[in-house]
Amino acid sequence: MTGLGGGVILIPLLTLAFNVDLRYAIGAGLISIIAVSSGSGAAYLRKGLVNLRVGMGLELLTAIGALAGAYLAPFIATRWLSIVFGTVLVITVYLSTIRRRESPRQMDIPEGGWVDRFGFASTYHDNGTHIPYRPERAGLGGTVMLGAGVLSGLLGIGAGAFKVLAMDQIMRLPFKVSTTTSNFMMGVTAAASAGIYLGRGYIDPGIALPVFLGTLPGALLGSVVLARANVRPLRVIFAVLVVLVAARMIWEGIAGG
Amino acid sequence: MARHPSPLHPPAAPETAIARLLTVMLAIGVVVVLVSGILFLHAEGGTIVAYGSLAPPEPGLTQPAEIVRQAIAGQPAALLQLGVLLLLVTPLAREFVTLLVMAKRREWVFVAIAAAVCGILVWGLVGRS
Repeated sequence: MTGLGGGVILIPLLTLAFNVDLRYAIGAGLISIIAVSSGSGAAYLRKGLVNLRVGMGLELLTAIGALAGAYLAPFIATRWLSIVFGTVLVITVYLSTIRRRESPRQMDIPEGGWVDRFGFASTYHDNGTHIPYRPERAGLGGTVMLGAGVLSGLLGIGAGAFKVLAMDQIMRLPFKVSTTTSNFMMGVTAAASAGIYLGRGYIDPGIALPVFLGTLPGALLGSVVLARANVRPLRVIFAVLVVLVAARMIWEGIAGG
Repeated sequence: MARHPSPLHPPAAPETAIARLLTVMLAIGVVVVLVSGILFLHAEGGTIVAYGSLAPPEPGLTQPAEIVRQAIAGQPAALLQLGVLLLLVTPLAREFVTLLVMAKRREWVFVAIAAAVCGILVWGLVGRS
């Protein structure tokens, strides 16, 4: 719930600390995303926070993007992937630290049109009250989603920060709906490209096992602890850490050749 | 008598059926990975593999049909990969159930979307990489 997923930490950890090839690390990242998304997605669905219809519509775009990203990956040298990864990390930190508008969303969109035809408008529960909301600017949001899918397939990350950007900032969905729907979609996005990585032999059971064992309990524990903990200082420390990691990834990309 | 609702016959809220499926699939995946993980470490725990560079892929560990075949034969690495594969098809199964739920509600636009997503996922798994 820090807004930053596991992939942004897992992949640099594997490549920088354990000297694993970036492509194996990406494969492992995708597997961990699927595990976390399936685990937490179920819980969020039960709470009624996920907008299933919006999620499905956008999922199609991220899945197409992810497939494209996975097909693109072999044509990009590992050092360039490393540089792109580092850059995406910095953007991710920026996106998850900017202040969000806390004011209630305005409801001045005219009734009818595509939003109502497809039933995208919905309500969610917060502190016992029903809060209605309607998505806007689906075209732009969808385009960002497609891009998030490409990044996910290319780098083995969930690109959650970009998905939340599309839903929260562009389509003006409530923040809670955005994060949970993003999490829900993550599994499908990752699975689209993971199949291709599996076919290439980039998903190795010897790496998948420790990653899997570490990620799942960690994610479950994290969602329990972070729900209560004061996350603010944690986020700052985390952001600094990720920026340092990003710098190192970019440097590795430039220096290693 | 305890109820065992099948995900194919969803209750009123489609979210509940999908959530239940996710939990069950994940649990099965975890069990397979844990059990095969122990076997894998027992069999190959002593070997040190260099992951610093890409190795040529082992054919038995990349194609779904081959993974299942070798896993049935009791190959520890393939068993472990089967757990990974189960995890990988969880989103596909979820999308398929969503498709059924939407078909039951006669929301054909979403049936088409779910079918397209299923198609992409299957393509990713069995298509040429």
